[in-house]
Amino acid sequence: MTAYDDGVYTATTAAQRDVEITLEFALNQDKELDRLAHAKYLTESLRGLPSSLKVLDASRPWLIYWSLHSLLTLGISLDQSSKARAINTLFKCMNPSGGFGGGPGQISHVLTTYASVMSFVIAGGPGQGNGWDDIDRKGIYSFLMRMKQQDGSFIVHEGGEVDVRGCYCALAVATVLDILTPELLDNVDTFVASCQTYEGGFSACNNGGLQFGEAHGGYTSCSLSALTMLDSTRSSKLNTMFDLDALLRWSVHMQGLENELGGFRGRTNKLVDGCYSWWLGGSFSLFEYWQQAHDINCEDSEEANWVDEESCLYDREALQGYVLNAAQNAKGGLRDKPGKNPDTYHTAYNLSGLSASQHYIKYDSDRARQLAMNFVHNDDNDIPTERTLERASIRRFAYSSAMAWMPDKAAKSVRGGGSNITNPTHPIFNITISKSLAALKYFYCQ
Amino acid sequence: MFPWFSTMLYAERDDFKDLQPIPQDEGPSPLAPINYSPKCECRDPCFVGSLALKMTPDKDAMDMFRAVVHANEKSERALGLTEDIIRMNAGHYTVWHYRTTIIVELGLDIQAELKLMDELSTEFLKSYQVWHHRRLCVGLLATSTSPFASKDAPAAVTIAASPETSSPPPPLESSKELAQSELKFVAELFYATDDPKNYHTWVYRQWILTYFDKILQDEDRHLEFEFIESLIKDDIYNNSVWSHRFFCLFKLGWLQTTLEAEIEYVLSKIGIAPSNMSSWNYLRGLLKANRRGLNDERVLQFSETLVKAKSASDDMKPPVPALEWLADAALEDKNPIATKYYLQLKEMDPIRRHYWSWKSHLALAA
Repeated sequence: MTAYDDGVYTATTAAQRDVEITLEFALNQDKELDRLAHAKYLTESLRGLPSSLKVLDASRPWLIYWSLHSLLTLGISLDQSSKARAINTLFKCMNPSGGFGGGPGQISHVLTTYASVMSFVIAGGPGQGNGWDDIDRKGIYSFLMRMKQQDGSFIVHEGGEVDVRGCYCALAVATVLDILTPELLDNVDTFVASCQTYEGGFSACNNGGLQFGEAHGGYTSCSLSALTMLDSTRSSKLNTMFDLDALLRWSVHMQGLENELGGFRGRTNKLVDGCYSWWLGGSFSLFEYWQQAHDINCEDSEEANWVDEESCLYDREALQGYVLNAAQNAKGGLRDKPGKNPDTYHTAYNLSGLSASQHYIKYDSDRARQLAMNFVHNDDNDIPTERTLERASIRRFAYSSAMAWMPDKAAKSVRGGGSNITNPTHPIFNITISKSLAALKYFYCQ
Repeated sequence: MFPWFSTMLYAERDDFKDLQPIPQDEGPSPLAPINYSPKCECRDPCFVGSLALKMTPDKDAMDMFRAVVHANEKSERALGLTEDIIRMNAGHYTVWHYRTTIIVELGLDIQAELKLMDELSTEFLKSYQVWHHRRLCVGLLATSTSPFASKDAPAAVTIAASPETSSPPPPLESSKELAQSELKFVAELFYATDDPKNYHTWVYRQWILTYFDKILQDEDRHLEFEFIESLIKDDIYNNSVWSHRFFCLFKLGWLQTTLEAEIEYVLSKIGIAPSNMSSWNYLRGLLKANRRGLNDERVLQFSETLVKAKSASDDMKPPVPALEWLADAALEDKNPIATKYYLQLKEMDPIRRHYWSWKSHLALAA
């Protein structure tokens, strides 16, 4: 079965056919996760990038994040010296007026601020010289508030463009660092929800509610993660603001067929690409959270329980096959698809997707309730807000919800056996769960 | 072509000798450093166009840029320097932003800037910055008293490029020509770059249509639908075009047709390519936007015919989206036949077996 059998031949079907041919050789393979080769590839990138990659000069924190996160997902811990180098380099990108730029001396950017903060979570820790104590939380807050627009969106830098990546990165950073305020959150829900398209997936942005662009895997991941973070901070649920069924349907349809090795495409009628293993494959953990909220409204019925015997809505096993057999480059690093060069971006999102399809990451609502109950109110009031009571409640629920994502230890589906196992990654922040928990406890002083 | 262009290093240039280049402060043993070369390997202007992507933001230009920023210098030579760097790395958002402030503060010729963007948007099609900068330029031109401002008549640049706002004030009546030329540029770009699915380009086009919506006229709208139709004819699977059609009809509200006629239109396209998810999704969106369920008599009949016709021939499977429509419509109606359809889908489309199986459970419970 191929994707198109209508007897109509266009640029789309030609490109699709090429990919199907390219993927043919990978069809019946059973490659192992080549940890060693990828580790070598990643440590080499950290040492320095060849001249061909100088276009990434404004993405230094991203390079660090992709490499560090990949290493940790592979289960390779960082040596002290690399950690120290990461922390020093990141601090060189931090600006006195708040936030992190794409390199030393570059103006702050919401996306590189996300990459920097997540890298700090991975490489840093409490105590002098370990980074966490020295992150300028107040500065980052003031930067994010300067980027915040009336309609709930964020410009990505001073004078820069707007899209939902900005909303996601701003919220993820603010959630981890405990700098969420009602002012920061105002209208973000409306802005993000207005990016849902008629297809079900989300697009890049909207302008006064007029949604621009088509449904796209990357923007969908950002939107759904942002909505999940927003939802957990409030008592009235957001599930009526967007069409969950349409989103689910669209996401499920983005998974490629058997001859595409079950990889994900990012848009309808586009080609599969390894990075969507995370952007879409990784989103399925979040659906369960929303389905729970949904079920409260519906008549509960055993038959209608949304998970079937294998507890997932996409083909996990097939997706793992795409990552292992199509996306791995023989000399290390992972890629979009065979024939493309590997890079740290594709390495990170292929591995994150692999991890998400091996582990069952569940939102444990009992744990969330417990954590919320035991939450110690200790706000030092260093984040300026007019609405202190609301902030207190937001802190408590943001913390307990972010902490509630846990891998179900009993349930794993690891293609190729235990030697291919990766570390579980947090479905919202995309850093390993153990690092996420440690950082959350630290920044919320719990 | 580039008056400031020189094969000399900025550090050695006479016209920059009053500035002391500032090297990047990386700190000791940085992580993931970019290996700058002191000078680009290809500085021959003849090759700039074709090799720009492979060129590197060389240390020399960046060092001088830091010196310019440090001196807070807004000048023509600083403008030239920013262009030089952008050509080497179009993702350098700090440099783009500085360029904008130079243009605004000096009241420079926006029309010339837009012309430069014609070239750079083609070259750096996938750069967020190039499209954003183009928006800023168009916003400035559309709100200045002389829309096609020339050097002699500097644009009014008071509010439009204020860094904190993402959208400029409404365009002047007189900027219709500008809108039309932008639409033409984007349309040609799809062909010139052979990339009619480029995300940035579509978002930009939709911004143009939104921004100038009030001053565009029926003939412009008519042209837009002709443009859409020609792209669908080129490639019926191009989801970006379907998405754009939806945008024009239901987001901008350019209703040039009735719901019935639009359903007919989509069904005719599905008839050509029954497996095309783009048109099926569009049909779902169309009905939903009109607050209608999936149980549209014509669509049901159409889907049934498709399923039957394909099932009748031995080697053909019924198109998944047609069967899915029947299943979802039945589920919507709480018709038990939905289960049967979902189980059939589970057989036909095993990658999504868990999803179909879940849907069949929902149907059973309904």
